[in-house]
Amino acid sequence: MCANASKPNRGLYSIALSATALAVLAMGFPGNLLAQDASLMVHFKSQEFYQDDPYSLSLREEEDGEYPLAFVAVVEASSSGALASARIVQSFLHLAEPIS
Amino acid sequence: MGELDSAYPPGSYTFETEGLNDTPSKRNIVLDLNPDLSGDTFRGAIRFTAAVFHAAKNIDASLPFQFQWDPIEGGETADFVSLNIKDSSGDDVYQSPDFGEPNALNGTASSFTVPSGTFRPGMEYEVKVEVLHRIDNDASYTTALSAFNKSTKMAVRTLGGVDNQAPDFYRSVPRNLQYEVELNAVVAFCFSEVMDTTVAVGQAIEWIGVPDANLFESRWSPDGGILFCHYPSGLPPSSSIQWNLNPPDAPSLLRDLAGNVIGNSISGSFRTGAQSSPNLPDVSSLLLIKGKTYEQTDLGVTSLEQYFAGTLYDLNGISSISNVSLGIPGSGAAIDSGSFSFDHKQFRGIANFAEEADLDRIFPNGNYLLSVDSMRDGIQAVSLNFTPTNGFPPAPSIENLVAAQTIDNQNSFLLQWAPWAEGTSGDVIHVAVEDSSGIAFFRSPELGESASLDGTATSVTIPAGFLPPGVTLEADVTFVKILDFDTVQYPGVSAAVGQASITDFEIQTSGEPFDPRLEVVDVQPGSVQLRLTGVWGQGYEIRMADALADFESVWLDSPFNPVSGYKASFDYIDSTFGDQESRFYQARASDSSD
Repeated sequence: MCANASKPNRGLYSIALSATALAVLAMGFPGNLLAQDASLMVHFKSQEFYQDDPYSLSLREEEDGEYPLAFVAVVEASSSGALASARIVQSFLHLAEPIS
Repeated sequence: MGELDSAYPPGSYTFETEGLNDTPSKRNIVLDLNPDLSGDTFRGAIRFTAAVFHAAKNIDASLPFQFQWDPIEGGETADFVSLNIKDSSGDDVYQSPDFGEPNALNGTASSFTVPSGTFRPGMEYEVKVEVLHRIDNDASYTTALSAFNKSTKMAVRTLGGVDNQAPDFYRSVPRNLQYEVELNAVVAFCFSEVMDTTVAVGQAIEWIGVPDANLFESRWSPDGGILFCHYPSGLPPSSSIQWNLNPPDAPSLLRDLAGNVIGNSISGSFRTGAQSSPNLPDVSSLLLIKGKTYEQTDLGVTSLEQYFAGTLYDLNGISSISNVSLGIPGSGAAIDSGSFSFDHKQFRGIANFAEEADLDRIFPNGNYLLSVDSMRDGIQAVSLNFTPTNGFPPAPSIENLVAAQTIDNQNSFLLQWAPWAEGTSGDVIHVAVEDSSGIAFFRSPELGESASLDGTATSVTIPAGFLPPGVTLEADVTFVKILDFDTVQYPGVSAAVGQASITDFEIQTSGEPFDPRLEVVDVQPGSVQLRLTGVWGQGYEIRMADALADFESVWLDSPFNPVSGYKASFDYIDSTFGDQESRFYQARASDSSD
């Protein structure tokens, strides 16, 4: 189970980091010897630049529709169907967004 | 970052999951996403070094390759840095060591060597370096963490391989069948890939309609993708000028670097106007601004926390320059700093940032060198000092935004904004109204033009008929505090650097959207010439059928010949008409589904 929450706006906000990179983040954090239904939880804000000049770079909307600014929330299930539901809640605002 | 931070503010976020096997089944994991103890969030933007940027376009796949980037601003050993390479299909080709593995990169790293054998010859890849600034983690249930992530991607190409793909010819400017072309126009041919710039261009293009085709001078854009052809004495007035690329029996052929030629006998024509062009420099004005972006809605003006560095080269003729560069203080010359506008009468570039610190790191204060390689004036360079004494100007605030939601395009409209208290006659205010693809229906006069708006202006009149009916358009008002201004270094050309604030807002026009019109303008034996009139820049298609059914699309284009105001036209010649008695034609917007 892996999905992203995003806030599209004026072509700038959406989803950024690849699943591969997330898998990298999961490495090196011990303590998960028991099999939990969720194997990874991560949320982050990201900025993605593109450099098409030797000295200049820019936030750039990708051709595949991905946008360079994002809030990303990911929950990875340890096995298919192990999670019945997942959501992320802005604790202080009590606003919830489903991760599906 | 404004709206992103507004939607997802600093604070704690709770993952709530319900598992099928866990006991208890429901879990709540709280992770903070606040600035760290030093008040930092994102690390600095990652920029590959100029040497690597160039070398990465010609990698020898049989050798290791070292990617280098500038030291990451704020990067610490606790941060995690990774390098990832994907092929043109998006599949992973290489990944630097994972966190915790030997040789894993941390925030102080500024290089990584990819081993030989990673790449294949003659291929294109994309490399991404990212820095992860971890803020919080929790191992009480599973691996859980929060972070700020910043990454930079760059294109990579390897030497060798076999290229059998013929390059595509995109378009010419002036466009095919364009009329009333200015006599100082430079003819530009645009291709889909890097071309062989050593080809004898004069032998690869046939020209008809000029006094002496041998007088054409040619040059290529720095990336080898655009060929510019310039007739030094000016194109002849009221003439039909035809060109033919790679004509039959041509002793030289336009081709890509691998020798693949474009299709034979690609031809087109345009018609020049009657009036000679005024004797002006190739460039009208040069402008570099660093700015901050705002948005105004019916709720008021809000900062989008977006920053940019933008260049605008306003030209006095079609394609009158072939190349620009921007010398950045303490850095080097940015050479890929923009692109031509739809009509090739402006060259514009922009770099966007979410943090002012990144803007100032990539485009610091100091002396900038704005250079152009122009067709008639040669290489011209203007040095200007960007040293602000204050912050950005205040955000422009539109005073009649409500009225701007029901504009009658048959009448002029006075757009008004709150006075810029610190604005002077030496500053500039600019107004633009565009569609979502950037086609401008109205632009106030540019820097240096006699009617340009100075910093004391509080309104501008959008003339009747300039805006199409029944549409929502994107508008902006920009306050530019001029920091340095010059008309001497490039004689007769206004050049400036400034600090800007821009407010974006939407306007709407009343009425029904304009439907395209199609007319027959010429009939010759075996062919019919049609003219489609529509809205500037919008995509249209012409369809035809031999009966009133089963229409097929035969031509896609956007109007470029001015008609009046927002209306423009393009022509299409149906040379397949043959000896038929009748044929039916239809025009519609190219995104139409009916």
